[in-house]
Amino acid sequence: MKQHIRYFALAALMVVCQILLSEYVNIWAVLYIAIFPQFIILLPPSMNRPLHLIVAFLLGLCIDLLADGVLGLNAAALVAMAYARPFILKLTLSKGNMDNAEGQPLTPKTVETPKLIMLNTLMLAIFFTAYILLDSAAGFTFWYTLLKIGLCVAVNSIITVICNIVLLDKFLR
Amino acid sequence: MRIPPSLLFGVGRFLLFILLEAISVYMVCNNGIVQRYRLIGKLREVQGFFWERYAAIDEYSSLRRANGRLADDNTLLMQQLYRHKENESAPQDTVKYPFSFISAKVIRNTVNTTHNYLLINKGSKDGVEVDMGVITPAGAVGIVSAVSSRYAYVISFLNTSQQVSAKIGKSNTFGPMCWDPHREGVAILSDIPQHVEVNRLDTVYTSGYSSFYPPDIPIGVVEDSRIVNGVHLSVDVRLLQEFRNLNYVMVVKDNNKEEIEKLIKGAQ
Repeated sequence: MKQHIRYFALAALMVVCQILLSEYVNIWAVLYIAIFPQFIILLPPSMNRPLHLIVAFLLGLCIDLLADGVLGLNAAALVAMAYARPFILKLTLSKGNMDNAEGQPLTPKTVETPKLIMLNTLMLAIFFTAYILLDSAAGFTFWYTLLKIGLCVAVNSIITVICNIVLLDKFLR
Repeated sequence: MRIPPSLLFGVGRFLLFILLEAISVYMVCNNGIVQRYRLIGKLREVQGFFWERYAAIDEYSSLRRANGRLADDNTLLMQQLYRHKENESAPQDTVKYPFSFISAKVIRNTVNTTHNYLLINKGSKDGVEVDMGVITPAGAVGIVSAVSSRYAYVISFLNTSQQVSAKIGKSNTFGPMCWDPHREGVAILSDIPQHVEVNRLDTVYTSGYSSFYPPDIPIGVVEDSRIVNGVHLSVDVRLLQEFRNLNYVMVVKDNNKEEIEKLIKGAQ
């Protein structure tokens, strides 16, 4: 129960941080900083998968409603990322890692940092590919879209690793 | 034949995934921002209240810049007035100027996404209605998408779904102009016939062929042009309006709109 409250508090904190980010941190139109996908990434691998998808959908919708976005855009990208998570987990983590993280959030405490970085990067690549392709339905060029995806994944991966090491590990301990 | 439960669960998860994606994509495709406004109208009222106060502090801290911009706006207005006076000597017709304006203050303005919007402090009780154009003396700003009693939600021109009917000053040739999201402050005027002479720094104006914007509002200057598909010219236009510094706007009310729409409907 205590852990559930912590997850809920973390989700609320991430929504607030994301609203503040979209409000005050407008670095460049090409770069979208999104910290909330981290919440979907770190949820325990043993979590019920349909519930995981629904949580991703609701979190995305919440961000779309409260931050500056188009309704459905973050929700669609986050659901795509959540659906792909079991496959990415199989690809990046060993059985030992999965057993170790049983019922635990995926933080540096439960998974080795290089593997966590790999997991984060692949998950963010799926999130931003879905987000940018949906957002750029107006017809961006191939190279512009590729640059945007690459830049977003690189910068957000660095941010999520820092968040993981500095904050989340302590918050969910 | 018995179907393995794992396969059933897998199919169930896939169907849930498809359902959630379909709902999300449906919302994106159905002009999500308008939908959002309708969904959370009350929330927007509350946000509007706070943004209005935040905008007031921001406005106070940027008075010097605001003064400069007001002076620029004045200059542009003077130029327009001068042109208007010049035209007064021309034969007058009996039709009155069909547009009236409602001034409003911008309390929220996004510029860094591909679906930008503005929130202004005038709503239905001030006479603002959906589908009214929003301008400044330096160009078209957007179109009102939703209104509450005290605020209006404007889809910015800096939005990939927006376009303005614009003409090149010298030749009066017109075409649709839309924002180029790759370059800040640049729009693309397309479908200009190849034979039309387009020079760098030619002024681009609103054409007036829509009920959103009055004609002859300067929007930008020609920066570059190139032939597209061997048929038309595509013109890069440097916008005059600096969207990052937008403080005050005017909502355009076309007094003849109802009559024109009625006429078009009748003709169809």
